[in-house]
Amino acid sequence: MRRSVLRLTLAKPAARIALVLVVIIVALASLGPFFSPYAFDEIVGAPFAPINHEHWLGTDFLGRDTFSRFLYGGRTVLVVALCSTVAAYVVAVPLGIYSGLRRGSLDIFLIAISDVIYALPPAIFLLVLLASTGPSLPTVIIGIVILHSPRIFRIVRLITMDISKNEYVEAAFARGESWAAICFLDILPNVLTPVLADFGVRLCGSIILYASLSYLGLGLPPPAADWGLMISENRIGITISPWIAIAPALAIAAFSVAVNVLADSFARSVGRSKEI
Amino acid sequence: MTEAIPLVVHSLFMHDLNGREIVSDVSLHVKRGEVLAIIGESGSGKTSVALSLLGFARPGMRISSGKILIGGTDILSLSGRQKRAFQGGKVSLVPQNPTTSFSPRMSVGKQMAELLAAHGHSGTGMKQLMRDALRSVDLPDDEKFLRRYPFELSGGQLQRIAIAMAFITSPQVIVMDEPTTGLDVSTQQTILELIARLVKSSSASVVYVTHDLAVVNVVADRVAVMLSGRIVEQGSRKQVFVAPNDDYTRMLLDAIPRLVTDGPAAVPEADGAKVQSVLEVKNLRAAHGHVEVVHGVSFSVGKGECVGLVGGSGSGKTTTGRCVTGLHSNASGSLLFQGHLMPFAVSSRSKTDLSAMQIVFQNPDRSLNPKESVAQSIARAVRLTGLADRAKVGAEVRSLLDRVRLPQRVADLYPADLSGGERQRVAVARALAVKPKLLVCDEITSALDVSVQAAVVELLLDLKKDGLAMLFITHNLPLVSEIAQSIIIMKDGSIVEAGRTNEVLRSPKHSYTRMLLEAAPRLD
Repeated sequence: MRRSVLRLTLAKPAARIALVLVVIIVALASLGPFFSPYAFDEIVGAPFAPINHEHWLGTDFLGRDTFSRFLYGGRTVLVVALCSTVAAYVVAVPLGIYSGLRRGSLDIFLIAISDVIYALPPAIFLLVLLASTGPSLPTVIIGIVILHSPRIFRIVRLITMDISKNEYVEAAFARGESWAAICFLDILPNVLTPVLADFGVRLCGSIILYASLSYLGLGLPPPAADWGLMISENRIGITISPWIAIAPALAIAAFSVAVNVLADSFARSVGRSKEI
Repeated sequence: MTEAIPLVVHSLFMHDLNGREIVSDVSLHVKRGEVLAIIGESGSGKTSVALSLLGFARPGMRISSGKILIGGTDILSLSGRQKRAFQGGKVSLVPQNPTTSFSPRMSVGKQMAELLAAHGHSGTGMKQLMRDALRSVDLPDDEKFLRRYPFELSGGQLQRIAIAMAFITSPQVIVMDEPTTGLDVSTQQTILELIARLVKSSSASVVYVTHDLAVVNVVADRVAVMLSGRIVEQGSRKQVFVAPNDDYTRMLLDAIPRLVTDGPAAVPEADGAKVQSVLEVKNLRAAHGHVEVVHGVSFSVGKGECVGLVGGSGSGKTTTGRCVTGLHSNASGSLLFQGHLMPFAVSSRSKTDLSAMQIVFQNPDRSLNPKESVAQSIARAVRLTGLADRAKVGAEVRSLLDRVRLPQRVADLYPADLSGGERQRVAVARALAVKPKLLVCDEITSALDVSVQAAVVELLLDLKKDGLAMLFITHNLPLVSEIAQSIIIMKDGSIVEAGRTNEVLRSPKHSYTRMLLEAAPRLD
């Protein structure tokens, strides 16, 4: 059952290329630091040195090895994006199932809150949050969770309402099954597949949000290596050695596009395979 | 010679994308003004054949070889544009489900006009055609009606429009894919009469696809019986129904429930003694929102008794069943179950009461959790009885599967791997797992093929012998006559007639009952 969805997902060449890209970038970001020729904050030469056999991507505005910084710089964005996205699901899925199944006053309250959050422009919300509490990674994660949760909550709530109309749920109520049994056995497994299809899109959103914050200097503080930060701090040298900014920008772009293509392909195959 | 025959299909083969043969070597022909019925069970390939007559194969399917001559032209050899001129022009389709075959965002007039415009009509001539077409199917032909949207019309009205649209371009061949399946008996009857009348006056060749043999009896001149992609028998209606040559045809004919007025089920089983009543419903009223749909219904069901609750769509029979099982709590009146009063909401009923009363639903596709194997879903219900030991639960699941006559190998399968009939039996097994005293069956056979339906009915008769009380909700009178001792006829939320099944069917008092009896298609 699962396997056929997986096969369908990877049926198109684009999806297979996307999967390879995702694997490469995740490997690069997580294992890169072990293979980096220099430390990320070690000054190894003159600023903006061109590409040579010692410095594969030249040096940056302080004369640090760009290739080493590139290998170090992917970790934070991936960890922050993954943590915040997963945390958002952990918060929103139970609330969505509760709201969709029990309805009542808590449902109305949650809908109202999610409406308010919906109305906030994401980037400005994060900027205000970070400006008022001081930039720190946990705050960034909390901010992204706050932004994602209402959207996930809405989807899960609707799917739950749809599933609960099915006769197997009614039959379960009619024979006296507990709420917990119905939630965990009837609702959750059937909510999970469409939610999985949604996960990639949220992850991609988190990546872009964090990369933008990091570019604005609200991510990891210097001298840390961070893809978003690398683009902004080397802005002044963009005419001399454009690759310093291009490499991290390309990595972020490739990763988010690849995640999106995979998620899209997964969502389509879920729709096409009747088993699910 | 072929010019004289509007539709000739010559050894048609269809395959799915995995290369499996779906339709093999189907040949048929339909003369002018003749109706050929293709009958068969789900999966027999009858709809695939029907759609191929329009030069169309469903996604995942392809027409691999054969000829389909419409007025002498092979539609399969046509290019895209030529084919489109044929579709809706020379050959048209009446689809199965009228509620999904219309675009919900367009008025019906616009949709009719779109079809005519695609076939070169315009202006006042087109308007006149539309008016005539609507009049021919007994619908109002004014502007106001044309401006209606599909959701403002009933299923029967929409199907009339679909039929009008199929005839409007005066095609040579009309394909009807189960056009009355989604309609209730009385609407079905009028639609069938309408089709018969239109066919006579238009002299089109009609291919009528159905699984309902009784319907065939009303409309068809000739019958083709399909089984797993092949035509096993083809002949005049009389020959096929009276003297079938094929074993499968005989089996199909035997499986149809017949209206029995003195069948074994009609004989009361408790020898004169008053049967102990399991459920007593008194003055039940139920509403959807503020609209009352059940107006004071009273009846009782005794131990080992099966009560048939019969009515057309919108009669309130399903709502009554849902009130009894606690799934519809917007109700008043009293429910006396095994001698004590029962609240309406599931949440305020005791666990023992809940398990003593079970419901099986109409649609087997939605009554099983797609993520649970057969054994898992039955085991869940078994555990509710307090049984916790794994081995004992497993043994109970196996015995339940035996009881509904399913092979043990289905235990590890998922609903998607099962046929409709198998799913419905799993649903019955799951309901039986909590050892109910009363089983409410809500149209449980109406989504099933006749042969499967017969097996499910047999199973229910067995259960009844074991003392299970049953409330059998259906629109199918012949079916009720086979299994219910008493019958309740509902119309517009009220009981119009009730009594012993054989008495009611033999001498119906109410005009609605008489109408239902006449409308029930039968084989004579």
